[in-house]
This record gives sequence, structure tokens and C-alpha cells, in this order.
Amino acid sequence: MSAISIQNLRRHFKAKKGSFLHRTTQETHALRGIDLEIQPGSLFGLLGPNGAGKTTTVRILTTLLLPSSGSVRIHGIDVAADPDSVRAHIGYAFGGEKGFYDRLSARDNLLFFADLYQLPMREQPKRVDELLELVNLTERREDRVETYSRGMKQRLHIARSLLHDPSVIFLDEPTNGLDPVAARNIRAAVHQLRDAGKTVLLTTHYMFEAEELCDRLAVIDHGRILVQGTARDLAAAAETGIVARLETRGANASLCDKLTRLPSVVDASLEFLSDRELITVRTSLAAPEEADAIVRKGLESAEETSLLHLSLREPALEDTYVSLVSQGNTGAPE
Amino acid sequence: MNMSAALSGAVSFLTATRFHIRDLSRETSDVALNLITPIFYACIAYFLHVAGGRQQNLADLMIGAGLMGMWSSIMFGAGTVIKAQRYQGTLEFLLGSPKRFSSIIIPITTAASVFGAASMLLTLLWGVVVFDVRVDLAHVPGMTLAALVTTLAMGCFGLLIAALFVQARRAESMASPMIAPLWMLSGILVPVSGLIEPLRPVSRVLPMSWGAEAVRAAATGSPYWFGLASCAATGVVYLLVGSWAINVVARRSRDKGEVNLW
Repeated sequence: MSAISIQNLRRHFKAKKGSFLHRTTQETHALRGIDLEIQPGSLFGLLGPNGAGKTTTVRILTTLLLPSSGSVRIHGIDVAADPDSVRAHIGYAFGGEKGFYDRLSARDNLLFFADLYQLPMREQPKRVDELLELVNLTERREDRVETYSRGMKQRLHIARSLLHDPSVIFLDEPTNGLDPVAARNIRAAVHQLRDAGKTVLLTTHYMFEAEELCDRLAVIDHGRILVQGTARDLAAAAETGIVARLETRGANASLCDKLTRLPSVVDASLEFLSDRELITVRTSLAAPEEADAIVRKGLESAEETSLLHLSLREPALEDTYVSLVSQGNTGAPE
Repeated sequence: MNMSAALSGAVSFLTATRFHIRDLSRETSDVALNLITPIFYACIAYFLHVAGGRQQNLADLMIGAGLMGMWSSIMFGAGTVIKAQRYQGTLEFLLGSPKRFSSIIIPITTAASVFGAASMLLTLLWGVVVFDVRVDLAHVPGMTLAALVTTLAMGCFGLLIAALFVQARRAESMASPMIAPLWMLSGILVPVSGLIEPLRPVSRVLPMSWGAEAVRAAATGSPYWFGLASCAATGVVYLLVGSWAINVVARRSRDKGEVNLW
């Protein structure tokens, strides 16, 4: 049995707009029919741009939101019909600095939430101390949470998600806004969760993080899963090949449009630096020399642009992601 | 429900209430306000006493003024409880726990109510210290019991207030205009007999009215059990209605995905 099973999940919201006298209701489709199967013990990454539907999916999985239609099951239990049973099996940590009673200590907070998760009163102190040790907060456990750094709060979020020893854990952008060292500590904690046999669903904007941590991935955009599988499956689906990096002078957006229209070019993006421009061209070509040739050909028609440097590299997950999202722009309203 | 589950529930309620009292008491400015405001309530009671030719019992007036303070604390505390949780980001963790939402919110409204009770006791204390109010020591246990039951009953009433104010984006703005009418209706500012006839039954469904009667009766050594029992009974009714209402609100929020609860 899958740890998480989602079938044809849809969710729409109604939002009121306009003044009191001219109020209208607008319907937004956040999820448009999602199917996902996540096996026990796996670490699954859900990737997508802002507003793609990641958070809505996680909120439904964590029982905070009901689906408009479709089926969502955790270990076979329906999240809509039996949320209390599901809650006993899941833990979740959302990114950000909020979510605690900041004027009280980390230990006080965890003891409070341990009671909400119905841990026997006698076991609570021991479990809380174990988790504070696990996330390296033992020395600061009696300090007010308001004195914690963002990284420490994030570790405390993870500790809370583990209080009742859940088998499925949801981590929504756990390293968002953290410095590199703090983010590395969080990733190490996520590794530990996987080693402990937990099923983890992780949402993130950081592709290297998803690549490092996740067994399987799905890319979501405009409420639809564009593709799912391993990083290699995603690359194959996106037909991502060699990526060319061009340093130029005099380039503009129209050059990117021209490059994108070339055969075998999946996507081209432009970034302005202080004294030059940086163009990234993602191709579907496997041979570097072919990629080199096609990019140079594309530049021939742009006489006003001078090429300073051209380098080629193998595609990373980020290139796959960008290709998928730019190809799969299927945001037409239903 | 067996004895062990009931005991465990009671311990859990007390632990959670203590947690929220500690949380509320960590804000120095709030604590200072809770210490200072009763002085003004005590002054109001004293000046009413003087203006009325010292005809009314000063202890009665002082208790009434204390209950006014208690009521204000509860309206603002319970009325803004959901907003406060939303603001500090704890709401979704409360909603997503296996416990019933109502049983999570009750300790918070009770904590607000305890602050209200402290306000009442401080008003009375100021009255004793500054305005020479006489309270017979023999009546203190009865008064304490009546104040305790009133506090718990008002915590339950606060649950309903919390549920009603979930839909309000600015709950504190709604709390202000509701304070004075309920002061009057519950007979803490003016006697219920002074109200127009159609409004009198309303005071009978408010736990504060019965609580005020019980505390006042206990303070003078009169029988207070009927008032106390009625206060507890109305508290239980509000506990049931408030629990139902707050659980409905939570369910509705999950269904609609509205921002009111998020």
C-alpha cells in the first residue's frame, strides 16, 4: 500500500472581489486533477513555481484543507473522511519563523504540542528532551523561542513534527531563507528522517536540494503535475540536453526570443550583469558540438550583440525544471 | 468516558491553561495594564458610592466594578484568541492536531478568563487597601469559590465569543461595542431590576449575571448556592454550544479554505 495516494485531486477557491455594492465572486482552480503515489520510506520532492499548487496540496495532505473532489489517502485512510486518524500518522513542518509561542521556551512549546498530539503525560518530558537533542537544541532548550535564529526555529519545527513519531512527514520549504550552514543542518536532519524509514514529502524551490535529497520528484505547475519520476526521468521528459552559457554585450530580450525559436532549443533566458549580459540556452541536444554550432548560428543574426564567452555544460535538475515549467505552461482557466 | 480518561482530560486542560497563562503573563505591558486598570475600576466604584450619598454597599459596588474589568478582559482575550493564534502562526498547528479544536481553544479562553478574575480580585484589593472596603474574612472562601466558578463559566462563554469572532477581520473592534451592553445586561453595573422588562430574561442566560449574584451573596454571607449552581449550569450550556460552534467554524474553514481562520 502506498504511504500517500492521491487520485484526481481538485481544489478550487471562491474569492470575493470588488466593493460592498459591486461584489463579484471569482473562482480559482488551485489543483486541476493531481495523481500521485508515494511509497513508504521514500523521500519525494514536489517542485513548482510560486502559486503552482504545492502548498494547497500539502495543506490537503495535512488535513488543514478539504479537497473539492478526488481521493487523498495516507496509509489507506481518507484525509477528508477521517482526519483525526490521519493526524496521528503525520507530522508537518512549514518554513518560516512563526508557529510557536515565542515568549515561552522551546521545551515548554514542545511539551504543549506533545499534549495536543496526545502523548501520555509521563512520556512527554523524555520524548521532548530526545527530540531537542536530535535537533541540537538541548543547550538552548530553556531559552525563549523569540531569541532563536531562523535556523534554530526551523529545527524546532522539525522536532515538533516528530513528537508523536509519525510515519509520514511533510516539509514545506524547510530551508527557505536560511543561511547555507543552517540549510545544510536542515538537510542533514532530513537525511536522518529518511534513514529512520520515514516517508517524507518535501516541497522546495532549491533544485540542488531536491536533487541531493529526493528519490523521486514531481513538477507541479498551474495545479497540474507536469511530470514525475526520478531526476533522470524528469530530464528525459523535458528533453533537456546540453546547456550553453553565453556572456555577451548588447544582447536584449528579442535575442532570447530568436534563440528560443531555433530548432532543438528548449528555453533561453537573459540576465543583466553590470557590464555584460548572461544568456542561458537550454537545448535538447546531447552532443556539445551541435549545441555550440546552433547557438553560434543564432547569434549570427544579432549583429549588435558581441559574444564574449561561451561555455557548455551537462544539464542539472534546475535546467530540467525550467524547461518543464516553461514548456508546460497550461494555465488556461477551466 | 472512564475515570482515567476523565482525569487525563482534566490534567491536560489544567496543563494547557497554565501554559497559556504563562504565555499571556510574559508580556510586560499586558501585565502592567492588568495591574493598573483595576485601580480605575475601583475608583469608579468609589466615586459612584460617594455620588450616591454612600447609600449603596461599597463592597457590592467594588465587586461590580471588578466584574466589569473581568468582562472586558474576557471579551478582548477570548474575542481575539483566534486572531492571536493566526498572527503568531500557531493556528494551523492547533487545527492540525488530533485533539478536537474546541478542547484546544477552551484552555486559551479560560486563561483569558483567569486574567479577568485577577482583575476582579485586584479591584477588590484596591478597594480594601485604598477605599477602606470591609470584607469579612469568614466570607473569603465563599467569594473565592464563587469567583472560581464564574471564571470557568466565563471561559466557556469565551469559547462562543471566540467562535463568533472568527469571521471578523478586526475582532478587537467588535469587542469594544459589545462590552458596555453586556455590563448592563449582566447586572454588574446596574441592578437587573433597573432594566426594561423585555431585557431582563436576557440577563438570566448570561453566566456573568449569576456569577455576580453568587459573589455578592458570598461577600455578605448570604446564601449563594443557587447563584453558583446557575452560573455553573449556564457555563456548561455555553461550553456545549461554544464547542459545537468552534468545531463548525473549523470544519467550515477547512471546507471553504477561507482566510478567516488562516
